Amino acid sequence: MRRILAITVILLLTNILQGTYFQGLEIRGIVPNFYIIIIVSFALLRGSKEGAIVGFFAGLLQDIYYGTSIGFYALLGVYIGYFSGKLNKSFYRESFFLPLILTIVSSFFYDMAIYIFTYLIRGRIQISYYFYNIILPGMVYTGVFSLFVYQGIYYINEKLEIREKKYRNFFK
Amino acid sequence: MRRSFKIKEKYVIVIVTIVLLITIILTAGKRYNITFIEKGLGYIVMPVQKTFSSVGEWISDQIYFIKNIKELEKQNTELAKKVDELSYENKILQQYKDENTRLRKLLELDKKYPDYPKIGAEIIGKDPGNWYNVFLIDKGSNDGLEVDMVVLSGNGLVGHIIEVAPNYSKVLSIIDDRNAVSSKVLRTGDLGIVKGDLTLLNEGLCKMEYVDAEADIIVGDEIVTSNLSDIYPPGIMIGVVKEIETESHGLTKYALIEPVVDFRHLEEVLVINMKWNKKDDATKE
Repeated sequence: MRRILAITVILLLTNILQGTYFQGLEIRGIVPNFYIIIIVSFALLRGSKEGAIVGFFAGLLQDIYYGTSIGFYALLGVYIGYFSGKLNKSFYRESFFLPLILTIVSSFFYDMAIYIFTYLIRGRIQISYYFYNIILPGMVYTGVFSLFVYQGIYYINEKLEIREKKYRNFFK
Repeated sequence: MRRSFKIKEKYVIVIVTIVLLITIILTAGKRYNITFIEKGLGYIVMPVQKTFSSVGEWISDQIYFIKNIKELEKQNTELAKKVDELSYENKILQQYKDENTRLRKLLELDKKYPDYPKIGAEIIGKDPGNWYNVFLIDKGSNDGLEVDMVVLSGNGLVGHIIEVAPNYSKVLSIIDDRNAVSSKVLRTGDLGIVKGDLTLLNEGLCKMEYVDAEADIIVGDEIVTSNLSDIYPPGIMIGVVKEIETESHGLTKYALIEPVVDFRHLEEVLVINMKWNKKDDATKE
């Protein structure tokens, strides 16, 4: 219950901040994507299922507030969460390396999907321009911030898990 | 046990994919009616978002104020002088206006350039991604806004509303890659279509396409909305021509336009509180 509440607050806050203050981090039109960082962090810490759920709701918020059709970002979020979660068992939570790499890879797939499904089909074929000016800077910038945000999510998750353990013991 | 759960998980992902693909298709294009979920979320999130953005604005204003306090003083004296000058000029213009309306009435030209009713709105959020230029404003259907209403900033065209909720609306700006505005050269009346282009966004430009190869257009020409548009009323300033090129097939030209609106520092906008196309129908009757 507490977990649901925490994730809801984190997602709503991300949604609000991403539309307002984080826009101020803009460098040459590129803003880091905090949704991806949050989805990847939760997926790595908690596995595919929770990753996909967090991804779904993060995407849905984006769809509702800034999208033109419902479901596109939600679907991307589900995939990022689900596939990132597959690596849940195979890394040390304290390491920052895998979250960083995975955020960068996810950012690539995310922007690539947006390019292919909303730009390429409208006949914008200069893929190298979009790659060097939007996708690549986005990957780097989002990666840099994942170093910090992952630590935050890690800390919050740790607190939640301690509480959940206590709760379980109490009733058993 | 574990194996069967794995399979289940895969099925769930497939089902979610299919369901979402269906909703994407169903909701693609223009969403006029937003769902109750969105309405509910709007009521929860928007007040918070509004506070956030106004606090942010306040802080950046304060920083700006402290940074530029000297300059502001200088500016202030300059502006005071200018106010004097302008208020004098304004009085003369007022006289001209009175005269103009009088003469217009005589010529029955009254309806051609009416003062559009406008309401002010504040921008409370911008598209989080790097691909599009959609933003949210803090007025919605409660304030009488509707889809396709036109959004202006002090000196020019900003975009139009694509979705309305009770307490916020979504605006597609003219520099968004998906937007196209029928427009013309103010001086000569040559037509074209101003499109947003992501590749030009960093330089703060957009593109006017389909200009006739023999059209009379020069650098520095002012571009305004044309009277062919369904959504936009004619004569709204869009921008100034910065560069002209001939398309590789040689049949048309395109021009790079510098919008008069500074999209990077946009905080407040005006919405024309009336639907142009509707009004057009009304006058035809």
